[in-house]
Amino acid sequence: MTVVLVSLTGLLLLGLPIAFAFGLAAVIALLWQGDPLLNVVSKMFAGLDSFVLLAAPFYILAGELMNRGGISARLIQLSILLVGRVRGGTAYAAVVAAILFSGISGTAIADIAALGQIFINSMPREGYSKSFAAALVVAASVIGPIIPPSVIMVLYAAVADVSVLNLFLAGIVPGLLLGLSCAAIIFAKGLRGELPPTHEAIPAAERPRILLDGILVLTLPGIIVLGTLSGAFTPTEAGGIAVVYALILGIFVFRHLDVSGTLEAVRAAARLTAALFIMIAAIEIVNYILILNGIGEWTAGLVTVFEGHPTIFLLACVAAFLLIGLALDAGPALLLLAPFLLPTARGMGIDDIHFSMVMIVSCTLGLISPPVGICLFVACKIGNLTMRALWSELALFFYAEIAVILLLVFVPELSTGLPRLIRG
Amino acid sequence: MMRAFTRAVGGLVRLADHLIGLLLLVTVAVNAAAVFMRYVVGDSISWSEEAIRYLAIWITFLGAVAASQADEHMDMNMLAEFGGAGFQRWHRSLLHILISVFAAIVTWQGVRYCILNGAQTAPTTGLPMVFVYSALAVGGALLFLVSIAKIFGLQTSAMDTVSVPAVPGPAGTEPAALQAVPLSSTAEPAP
Repeated sequence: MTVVLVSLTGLLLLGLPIAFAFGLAAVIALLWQGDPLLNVVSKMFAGLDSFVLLAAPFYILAGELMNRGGISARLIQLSILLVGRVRGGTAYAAVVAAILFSGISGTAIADIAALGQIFINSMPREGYSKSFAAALVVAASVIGPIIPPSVIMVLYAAVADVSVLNLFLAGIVPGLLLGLSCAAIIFAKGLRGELPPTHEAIPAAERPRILLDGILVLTLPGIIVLGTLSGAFTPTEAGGIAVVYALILGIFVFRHLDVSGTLEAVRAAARLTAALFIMIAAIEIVNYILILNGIGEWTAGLVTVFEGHPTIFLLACVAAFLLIGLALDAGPALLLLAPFLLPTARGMGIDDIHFSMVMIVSCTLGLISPPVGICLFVACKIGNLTMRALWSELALFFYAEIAVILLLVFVPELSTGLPRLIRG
Repeated sequence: MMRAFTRAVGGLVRLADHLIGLLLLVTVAVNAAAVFMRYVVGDSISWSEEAIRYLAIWITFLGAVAASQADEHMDMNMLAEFGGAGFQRWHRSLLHILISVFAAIVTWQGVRYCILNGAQTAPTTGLPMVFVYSALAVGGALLFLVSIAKIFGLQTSAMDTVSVPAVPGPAGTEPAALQAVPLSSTAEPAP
């Protein structure tokens, strides 16, 4: 076990792409133990041979098509129409746009890429500081993978063997809470008189069209949620239907997509899918090595350590993954360890969905925690900001989102309530 | 000679890139057809799920090659902005050497796996599994070639005193910080 974990950490720190670091660490461990290298290919294949996993490329492609099909601009207009008129309206609109957009995109990076360009560059014209605008978009981007559809949830469901539909439902309330926490920080800023009034008003003549476009766009998450809930489609099939819908909307209704743009979107989605799946495949080999080395007994030992204190166990897991998130991307760590930690949590009487939700939100926060959060890099690049300037405004949002995680830890119903209510 | 090799690899990768796009579209079509048949025609396609699963395996291994060429694999490269151009060149070359070692192992074991298990047939389609398993060997081999071409590109660019890799790729010239970003290509074109 030491061999695989040490070589994995070493290779990651060296800067090797995550997928290949997992793969090579597994090779080193197999050679060290004298186990056949054939496991490398057989476990990679086994890790990918899952129908649930296939929802991921569909959600990625639907998001990509919507993004290139002029959807972001429409959702932003809709958000400004909904909340833009209050003081600090554009800031609130950024949060609303992030929530709406997260119903289409499955990743935080997609949210930043789509919303960042527009908000980070337009908010300073209204009197916000650029670092505040960037911090707000970064903070709101974590809503993307929490409100369904969510790529990390699909991957998690596949490795940890939980219902992806239950995870999707469970994410709705925590996602909205994250949005509320951002709004609360904006509101507090308003109380201190630091918010500029909104200048950009939307002409009355354009309102019906914006509303109609918004309804057309938001039908997509509707198809996914209602279609899967009613049992008409599996989550994977719903993803595929969403792609067809996004294609029709982008090409025929909004006429924003042409053939070459569509094909480029398809290729980009396929490459991203491949980058994620090759990582899942490589994680599966390391997973197998951990099992061989008795990680099951080790995690079972955790049950006795935390005997009778499930909340403390949850807090310890949150702390561990937040710490991992400071140095690395916590997502792969979660995908590696969830199959072992989940049964342990279950053994302590923690609900599967509750545990999974708390872990997924904790990992997602790693994307925006300094010094190496991916979303931070993107926002700094878009706004041409230093990390320090961004963090000075982001810190408050970050702590508010930590508070949301604590709330999720202590109130399991926030995660489990909706799936239980709807699916019994 | 190496330049011709680099160009040939570039051509192969572009082919793989177009192929994965096509395969993903086929996946969408098969999925839509399955749903259509079930609800409209009332007769389900038994082989759709299996077909989609196997298509995804090809997309993964060919796509991993295209993503490698475009530097789109997720990493946590904290050394990406460290040191001068010379250090960067050697550091990146080292990473590609490591990738090529892994790729070689996947190719070698992938071929063995095909020989050992290729004669199996898929449960519903009856497709010989060699058509699926070979994705690992093909992907591994292409990945190996891409890494070798990248190392060559990095080392020859030193002679041209240009720090930009000579290998053509959509994101090949992106600044290091963005290379860690998987979705950098989703940045929206101006609406």
